[in-house]
Amino acid sequence: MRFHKQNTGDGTLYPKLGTRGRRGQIWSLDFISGITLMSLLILLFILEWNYLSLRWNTSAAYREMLGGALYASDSLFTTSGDPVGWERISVIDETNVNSIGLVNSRNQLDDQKLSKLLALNSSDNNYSIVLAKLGIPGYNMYINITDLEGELTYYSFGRKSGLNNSVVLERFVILNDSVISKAKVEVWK
Amino acid sequence: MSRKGFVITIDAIAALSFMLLSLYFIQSTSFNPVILKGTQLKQLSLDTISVMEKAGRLTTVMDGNSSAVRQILLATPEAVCMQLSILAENGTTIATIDKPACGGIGTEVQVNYGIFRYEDELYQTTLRSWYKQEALE
Repeated sequence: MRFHKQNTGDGTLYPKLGTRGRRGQIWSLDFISGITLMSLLILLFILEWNYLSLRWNTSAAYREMLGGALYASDSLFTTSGDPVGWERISVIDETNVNSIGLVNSRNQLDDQKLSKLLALNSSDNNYSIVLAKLGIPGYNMYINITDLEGELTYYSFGRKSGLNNSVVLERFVILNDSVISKAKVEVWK
Repeated sequence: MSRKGFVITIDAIAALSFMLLSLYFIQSTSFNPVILKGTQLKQLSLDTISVMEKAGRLTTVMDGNSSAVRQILLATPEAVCMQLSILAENGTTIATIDKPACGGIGTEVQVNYGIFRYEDELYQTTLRSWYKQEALE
């Protein structure tokens, strides 16, 4: 504030708030440059935060899919399912099967269990029940059982993804007690 | 030049530099799911031992032919390396078979074991597996 000597007679200084002095307080170069710099900083921070949020969300979604695929493939190729004779149940629903497994001994596919799973591929409702029992409701799955080179397909189940945002696991299985085959399990959303 | 304005400017530049440096370090954070990849490797390794044993591929090694085992190792994903060893009960190494194009044992190796019977004797399989370094980056 500018102090001007007021004509009070005793020489005491009082602030003279003229219009010219007030404008200088609000529109100084310091204030404008400070506001501009701060705005740039805030903008930069928002852009960076958006970018990081996108990466975190993408990474979290990938981790969730990979975890689901690991669990589902383990259930299929290392367990017999619950109940063990689930393949003999004529109509499978949410209540009469707890989990689905395709083997009686680790990695060794049982023909009847495999045939039952392939039969469940025929309707969307049964397909959804399979996904739920494998612990991946809300996702889709595609299983492809091939020779070791991946050239000849023996069996397939599920819905194939046409996009790149899927997780693919490779497992080894034994068909007909002696043929070592590759099982590709793809989980996607 | 106003001394006060100069100090304020330096303060602003220091704060800005600190914030940009922090954002740079946060941005360079790796997002790879290391733990789940380890579980994936474990699953594959146990599968490999299991199918080799059940399909009789290990007994062919005992008969002097390792091609059947090598075929299984080659069928694993390209990013995965493996080394299979067969040991007798007394600890003697009978055979060691490496997956080609892996260039020796890597870092962060998983070791899994199995047992099989051949001519009334028990043998141990040791499967070492790891990811190629470029697959982790």
